[in-house]
Amino acid sequence: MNVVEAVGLGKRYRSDWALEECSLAVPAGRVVALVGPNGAGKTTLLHCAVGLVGPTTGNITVLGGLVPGSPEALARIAFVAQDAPLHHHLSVGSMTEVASALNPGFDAEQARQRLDALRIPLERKVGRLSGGQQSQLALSLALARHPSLLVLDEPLARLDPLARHDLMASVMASALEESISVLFSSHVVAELERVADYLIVLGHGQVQMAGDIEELLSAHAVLSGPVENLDRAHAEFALVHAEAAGRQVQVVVRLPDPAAPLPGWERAPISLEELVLAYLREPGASALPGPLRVAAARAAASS
Amino acid sequence: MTTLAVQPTPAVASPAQLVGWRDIAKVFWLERRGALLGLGALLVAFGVAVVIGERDAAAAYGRYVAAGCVQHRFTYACLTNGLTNNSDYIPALRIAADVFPVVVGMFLGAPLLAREYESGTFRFTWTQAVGRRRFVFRTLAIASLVVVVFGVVTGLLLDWVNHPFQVVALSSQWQAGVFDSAPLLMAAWCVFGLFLGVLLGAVIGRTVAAIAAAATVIGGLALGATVVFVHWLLAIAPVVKSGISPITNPGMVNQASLQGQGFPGAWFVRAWYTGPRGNVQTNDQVMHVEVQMYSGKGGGAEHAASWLSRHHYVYSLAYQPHARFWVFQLGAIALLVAVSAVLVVLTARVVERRRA
Repeated sequence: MNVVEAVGLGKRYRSDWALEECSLAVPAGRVVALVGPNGAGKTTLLHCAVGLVGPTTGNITVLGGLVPGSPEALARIAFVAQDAPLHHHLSVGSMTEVASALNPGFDAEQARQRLDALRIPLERKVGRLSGGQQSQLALSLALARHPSLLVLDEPLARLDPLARHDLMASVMASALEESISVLFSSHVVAELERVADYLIVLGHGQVQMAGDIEELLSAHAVLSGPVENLDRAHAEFALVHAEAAGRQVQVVVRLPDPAAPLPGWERAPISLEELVLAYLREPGASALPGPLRVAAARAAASS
Repeated sequence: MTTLAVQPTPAVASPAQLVGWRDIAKVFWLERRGALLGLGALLVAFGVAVVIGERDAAAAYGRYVAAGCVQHRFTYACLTNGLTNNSDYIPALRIAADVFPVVVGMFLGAPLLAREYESGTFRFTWTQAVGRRRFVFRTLAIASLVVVVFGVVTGLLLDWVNHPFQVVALSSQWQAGVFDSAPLLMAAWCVFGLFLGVLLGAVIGRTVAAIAAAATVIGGLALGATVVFVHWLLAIAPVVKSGISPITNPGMVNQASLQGQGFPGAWFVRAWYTGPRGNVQTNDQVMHVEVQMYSGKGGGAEHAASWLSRHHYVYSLAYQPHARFWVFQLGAIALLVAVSAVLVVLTARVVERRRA
């Protein structure tokens, strides 16, 4: 089953397209990182997935064909929006009561235990919590809904390194314990490899790259060689990004056969950060699942 | 032989349907208890002011009746009676009550969605299992219920304090400020103020700006309703009596009834003289007619009637009879409820379409 599936998804705000011809399939049971520069459309894609906005073109479904924003979808998707917007004038306890009242099956006991473990007092006003505590509160409320899909929009953006670590550890633990699929957007590329096992790179409103992180890393490489090799590289590989330094050139390429020898090139393994940055620097480059892969994923899910 | 009975499949409630009225009411209270307590405090303060006013009015009313002022109002004792003096205090209460729909729109209606958009909490609320449509509609329903109670209690308090003045015809249930503060109509105004405030808040998306807009728009409409709308409404299809004795001060048609000269409980719309050639007399002509009419012997109503008849003048009076009071009340309530329903539909469209 795909937890999110989009075909030709487009979203326009007045005259600006935030998303355009966006096709992807996010498999279930994965921790998926959605990365991209500012304005790439990450938040819009997540908002489409949780039903906050509807698409202008194309379509998007969640959890194996549900309409985003439908009662069935809302009951199984928990969303933590950017900056974890909560009612600042309420106490943590009251905020928990609000979430409990709005969600049948809300596990208030689990939320309280988690908040207790995080030393977030129930009587404190939400507005008086630190940014990290607010994010943890929002995550606690989301996890207490026992969702099938947890969607997090920039959960790490305003956290210090320790808080980032704690938050993502919480997410990972819950994902493992309760088999929750997780889709989160992030600017913090350096920490993705540790937490995510599936990557989607979004640039200029379109999906540039999507796939299992291990597969993506093994299918790409950093090659170094004389600058004369550059023309050959164009012919032999899918060239993602090239940087020349004097007579030497360093290229990031997608290899048709990762095991094949590469005469004339010095090969180095690529890190996830290098891979992501290479794609972000080249908006025209892509390694897409495309609509065909979406269809294949759908067929695989139904078989 | 075994008979297999097919059990009907129980209807499964969707997750959103499991969120009941009590749940939404609880959220409504938790999120808006400041505004709700404020409205409650306002109602209590108003009630105290009404009780103080009513105590004085009731005592003065007793003295007024005991002094025979109902039959002979234009005596020194009657003109200096506390009931007459109190008529300044009671209109002040009515004016205060006229502001209540504006207050409801400003402090309960406008922030209802504007705060969600301004603080971004709509991204939390709209993505909970309840769903945004169910949440908004039920929240509006609960808010309107609160506001109806607030409006009805306000109207009942005003009715109570106004009662002695209406009995002695120092006030009429038809007059602007009294007509639109009758309990049910006051409730309808408060609901209208609430929903207009909510719509403005949803469109503007900023709490303070929405409150300011609500104050301006609802305040303007409330003022317009008092000054223009009620007069326009009550002038629709009046009953016309022609060939009757002229009423000296037709504006007091309700008071005049106490002395057997008017139409009990009626509301004066307009009066006019028609001349011998069937033309409606101008103000100057009316003054001329009245000077001649009352300058003869006696000068009373019978004399005036016979003078008009002899000189082929006809006096006509347009009024709304007492029996129509509830027709107009219900008409005004229906109009406000219809407009409020439109406001709710528009709000729903804004909520569905507003950019996240």
